Amino acid sequence: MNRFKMLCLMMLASLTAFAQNKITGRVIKGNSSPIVAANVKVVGTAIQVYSNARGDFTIPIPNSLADREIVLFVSKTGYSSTRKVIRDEYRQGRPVIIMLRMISAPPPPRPSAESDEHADQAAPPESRSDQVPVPRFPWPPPEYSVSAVLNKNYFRQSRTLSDVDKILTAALSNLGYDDRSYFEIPNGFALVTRIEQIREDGSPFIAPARWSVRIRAYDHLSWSSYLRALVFPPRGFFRIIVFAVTDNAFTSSHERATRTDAERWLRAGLTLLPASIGNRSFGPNHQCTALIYQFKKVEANEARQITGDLTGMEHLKNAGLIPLVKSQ
Amino acid sequence: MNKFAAQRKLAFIWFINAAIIGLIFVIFTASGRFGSKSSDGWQWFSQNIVPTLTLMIGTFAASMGQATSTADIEKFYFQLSYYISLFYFLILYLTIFLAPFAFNETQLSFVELLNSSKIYLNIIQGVVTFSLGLFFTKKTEPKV
Repeated sequence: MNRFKMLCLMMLASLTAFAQNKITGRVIKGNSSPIVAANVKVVGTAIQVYSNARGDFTIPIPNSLADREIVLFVSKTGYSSTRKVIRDEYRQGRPVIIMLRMISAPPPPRPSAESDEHADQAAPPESRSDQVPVPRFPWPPPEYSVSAVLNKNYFRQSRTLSDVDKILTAALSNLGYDDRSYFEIPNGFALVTRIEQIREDGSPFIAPARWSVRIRAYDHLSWSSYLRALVFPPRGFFRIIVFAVTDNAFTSSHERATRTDAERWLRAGLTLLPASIGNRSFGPNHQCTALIYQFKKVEANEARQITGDLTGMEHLKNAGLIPLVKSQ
Repeated sequence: MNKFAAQRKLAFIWFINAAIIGLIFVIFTASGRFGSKSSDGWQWFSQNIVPTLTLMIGTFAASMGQATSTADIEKFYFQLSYYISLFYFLILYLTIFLAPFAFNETQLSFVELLNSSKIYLNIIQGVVTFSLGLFFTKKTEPKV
């Protein structure tokens, strides 16, 4: 009989242990309402689940991960993805609350006639290409690696935001930045370039390596490059430039963007600057600020945002942008 | 051939190559080649080299007090274990030295490559252990 009791106790104990091997939580947005069908993935494994109608999720954790650090990667189209390190209290049954920020939203109310006369004169509502809602860039912008304010003289001939866009796109096209994406920001627009692979000095690789997200252990095979690739882990640097043209002073939101977020910006924005924004006047307080998001990827690890050793202006110079913007 | 001399040749192969691979792994650990998974790298080393190495040390120690130095062994058993051991180390070196090429082709990290290699290394290690087992157990009395 004692043996039977012991067996029951052992079974109960093992069931309790099994019950603790899961993480529960909820995915919400800014106003605390749930996000349905958000993808919740355990980094480094194939385990993934989706949040239900209440935003709740439950992830079973196999015993092989019991002693390891667990990181959740949560994503949903239209929202900035996020990573969450699971601490001990969550393993003990406390639900994890994960908040995602929206990266595209309906346009804000148009500015009043007093604040933007040109816009009202030149771009009547629902005109031309403005049938599509203009997505908004996350504002204040996620924490950038470095930034640089472009000299106002480069845009002295510009009367409207569209004129500024023409100068920027001409320079960008010359340098091969053909994929661009436009967002609305307060009193202006943000122009996002495609993520590119760069060298440590900020100069871009030659295509197709430039636009590839794969890093390489070596570029050209030689004894020295092979030995370096053998002894040191391969690493790559990536960059996205966001030109923010606005007359609003801003700082970053201090939230780090992941490379996935940055890649999503290119797909979430518009291909052209809509007339409703482009026809607004480029006032004396407007500035064009280049926000540089630099990422470092070591071997097969996730790319992480870094500050890097270069200033924003050095990035723009080494990318070849400054002379071209100057000459427009 | 003399079994003790054959044992010494085999031990030479194993100790020298284990030392070389150990040194490479020390350099890799210092250079951060394993990233945050140094223990995985050293686990590969200890799983693929240490068991056979300790087996050799054990049989050496056991044979010290015996009259093995006068025993003979058929050359076939020595050559079998000698060349299989060489082949095994060749595969170990290839796994390490092909890592940069493997990464460029498949984006497989070094530690992932080491972990994947366990699949085929376990099989070869079985063959190595079998041949060494034959070598250590077989002996013929020296001709008088």
